[in-house]
Amino acid sequence: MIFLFRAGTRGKLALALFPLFWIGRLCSQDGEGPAPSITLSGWERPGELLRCQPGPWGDLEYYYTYLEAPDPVIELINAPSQRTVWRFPGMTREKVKSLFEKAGISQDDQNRLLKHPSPSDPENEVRVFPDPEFVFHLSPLSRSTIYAVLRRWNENPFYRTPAIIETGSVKEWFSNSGLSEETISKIEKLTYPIGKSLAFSDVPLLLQDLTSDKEQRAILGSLTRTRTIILRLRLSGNSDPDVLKDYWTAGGRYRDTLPMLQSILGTGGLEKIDVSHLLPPTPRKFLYTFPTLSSGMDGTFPDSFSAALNFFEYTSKVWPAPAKHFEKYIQSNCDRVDPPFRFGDMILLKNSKSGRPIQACVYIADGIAYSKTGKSIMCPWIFAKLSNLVARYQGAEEVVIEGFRHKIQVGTD
Amino acid sequence: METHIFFSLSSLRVVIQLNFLCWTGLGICFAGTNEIILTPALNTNAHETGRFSVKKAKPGPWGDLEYFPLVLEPPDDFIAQSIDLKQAPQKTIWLFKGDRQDVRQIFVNAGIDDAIIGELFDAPEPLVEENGTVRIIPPDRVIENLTPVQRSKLYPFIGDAVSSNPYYAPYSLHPGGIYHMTRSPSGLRPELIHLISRLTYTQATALQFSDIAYVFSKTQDAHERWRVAKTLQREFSLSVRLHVSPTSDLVALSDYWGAGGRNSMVLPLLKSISKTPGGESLDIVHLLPPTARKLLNTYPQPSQSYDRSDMPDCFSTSFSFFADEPPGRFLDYVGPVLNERYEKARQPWQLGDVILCFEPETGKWVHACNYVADGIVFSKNGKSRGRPWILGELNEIIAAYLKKKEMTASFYRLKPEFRR
Repeated sequence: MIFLFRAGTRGKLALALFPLFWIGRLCSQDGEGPAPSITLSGWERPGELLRCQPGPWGDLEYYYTYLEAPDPVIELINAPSQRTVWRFPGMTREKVKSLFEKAGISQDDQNRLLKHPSPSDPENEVRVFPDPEFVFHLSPLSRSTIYAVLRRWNENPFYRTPAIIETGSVKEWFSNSGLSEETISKIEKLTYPIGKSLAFSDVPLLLQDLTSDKEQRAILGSLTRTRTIILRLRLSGNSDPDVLKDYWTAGGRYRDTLPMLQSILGTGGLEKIDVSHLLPPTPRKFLYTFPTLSSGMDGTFPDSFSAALNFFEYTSKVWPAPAKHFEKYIQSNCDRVDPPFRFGDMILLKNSKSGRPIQACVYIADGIAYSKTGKSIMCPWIFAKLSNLVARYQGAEEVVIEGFRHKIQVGTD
Repeated sequence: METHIFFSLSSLRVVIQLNFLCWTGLGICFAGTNEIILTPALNTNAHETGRFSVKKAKPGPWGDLEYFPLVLEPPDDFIAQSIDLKQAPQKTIWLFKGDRQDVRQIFVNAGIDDAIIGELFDAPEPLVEENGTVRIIPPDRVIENLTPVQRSKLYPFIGDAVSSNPYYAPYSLHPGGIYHMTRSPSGLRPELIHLISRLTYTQATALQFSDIAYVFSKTQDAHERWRVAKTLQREFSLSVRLHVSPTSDLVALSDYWGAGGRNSMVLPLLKSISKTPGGESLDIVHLLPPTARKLLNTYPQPSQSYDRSDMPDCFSTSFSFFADEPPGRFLDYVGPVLNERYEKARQPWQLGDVILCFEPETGKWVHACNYVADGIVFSKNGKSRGRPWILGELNEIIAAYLKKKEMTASFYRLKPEFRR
């Protein structure tokens, strides 16, 4: 079975699969209206203790928190120029003009932006240097149209991998980040929708007003924010121990957690336990951390596919092409499964048209999955709502979800 | 400032007052000397009962910690391989090297009186002497009525020096004894628990149990034997939580858990939780370095050794504490690592300090573990696949290893050049 998530639509199936996550709607994307935002339901505020739906996973509670890349990683980021540049490799000036037209840029502005070929333009590349005022006042529609094209090329790093604000609320996302109200308001004005999330790319513009390197680092750190979930199992005594054991051992496929499970179920007085204790050793080791340099020793840094492939591996392995290996692995070792998914199921997010694998994750419980949102060392291993992972792409492309369950015993060698 | 702690049985009476002294308190009490005299609390007859409760750690640079015991039992596949279960004899057999006269002398040295010795020599199934060994099948009454001291003096002479011999390699019980170990349901009948308690003996402060064959002979079925085997190998770990709030001193916490740059990758989460409105608790598994985080509360996997005999032990574990993955070479020998990369630590103890326990009487290092916070350490107690990596209370771990008259504990820390 395939599950489709289309921009602007939400089928009954999707509603059945995931808890209603987004309450509210995207604001107008046309004209000079207010900055795009998505209203956040009250129960998603960071730190607020939330409860999962009851299920075979037991009584779970969780709260959201934000991870920022550690200082040594931020130090690796080259301080970008404060001048905004849009690079269109392989495009002609006519094509770029046509893009601006489509984005609703006025003729005057088009002419101004493309007045003269830049002396720095290399062959087969158009470079545009919009002034800060122009960039700041771009409408969300114009911004998302142009930036969707810019993100095709590695030459535009901030557009290629924008900061994703998956809650849709800039103020909430950056609360307690140390950024000033003014900076947060500026970011809010400069965000644009990607799928069901908001994205921010105008880092050079944001850095213009800064006077110190420290401030610059603080902003870059804040822009690496990734939302994650701290998940705990409550031991109320009402849960059926056999059901819990069956669930957290993936139906008996992964038995290495049994000593710990039996302990927490048998030791009276323990109120709750961090779910990481029920994970296999490798995801427990990585959860909530950013990759270290040693994780790239084999020439490639881990991505979502290697995170999923290594979930039950005692020692994490490295594959030159993890996405390809993932597809091969599930073909050989897994059965395709329909929801409800269960602990340990491998979930693949694919482009429905091209079949291109977008991201992989491992199902934990009640719509929460374990994943790594990208290959970058600024992407940590996290627990996230599957619906949020989907929302990162939804709209930008049509996403399908496929579930796979191990046919074989995993874990103990 | 000292780097050694000295554990002495002879000082028992002096230090009994100091039982449960907080670990941080020790440093204060003994500052200015290189030796600390301490004997952990120990009472083989202790009947701690009831549910476990949450304990608070002493305040310190580690922050506001609370912890709760976890009782771990080895995996089924390990227990299924247990020699004791697979080859459980119908009766207890004592096998001694030497002749009848040698054995008599062993009994005398153990403080066993003549009447009982006579009974042993003329038991219903009399002593058999052949090929330089003496085989005795002791009557139940004798087994049950030996005192702990008699057992501790007699049992080391029984059988061969092989790990499958429970007299040579006894079950090492938690210092609280079998009653403490069965505070969470064990499935054992009270009679069996009482029997195990009666048969428990000590080597210095370490609680030992060898009479597995006898206890098995009193079980009702295979399931009960299985439960006995599992219960005797129970190990205590801790679920430790750090309470963090926006009012917490993030700089101090980061300094402690970041271990001077050795563990900086845990800081994003710590920083994140500290900014969480209202404050929350965080399991400290997330604040441990990668290897400890990965191994905590798990049992060794066969793949962790090269030839399935060189399993990770306390030494390879403690010197791997800050490693991204445990280096294979630590399975060989850690001596050079200690000399090259570590220096004597000074108080205050820091996250990851290696604590090496040395037995002067035998001239051997008997244990190693890593300091975590307050009196809590990260430890792998023994090489066996049946022993998990745990967070434990140092005084309990010391009690389990203190088998001779004295033991010293020395603290070592990575040299500055190896801290990043």
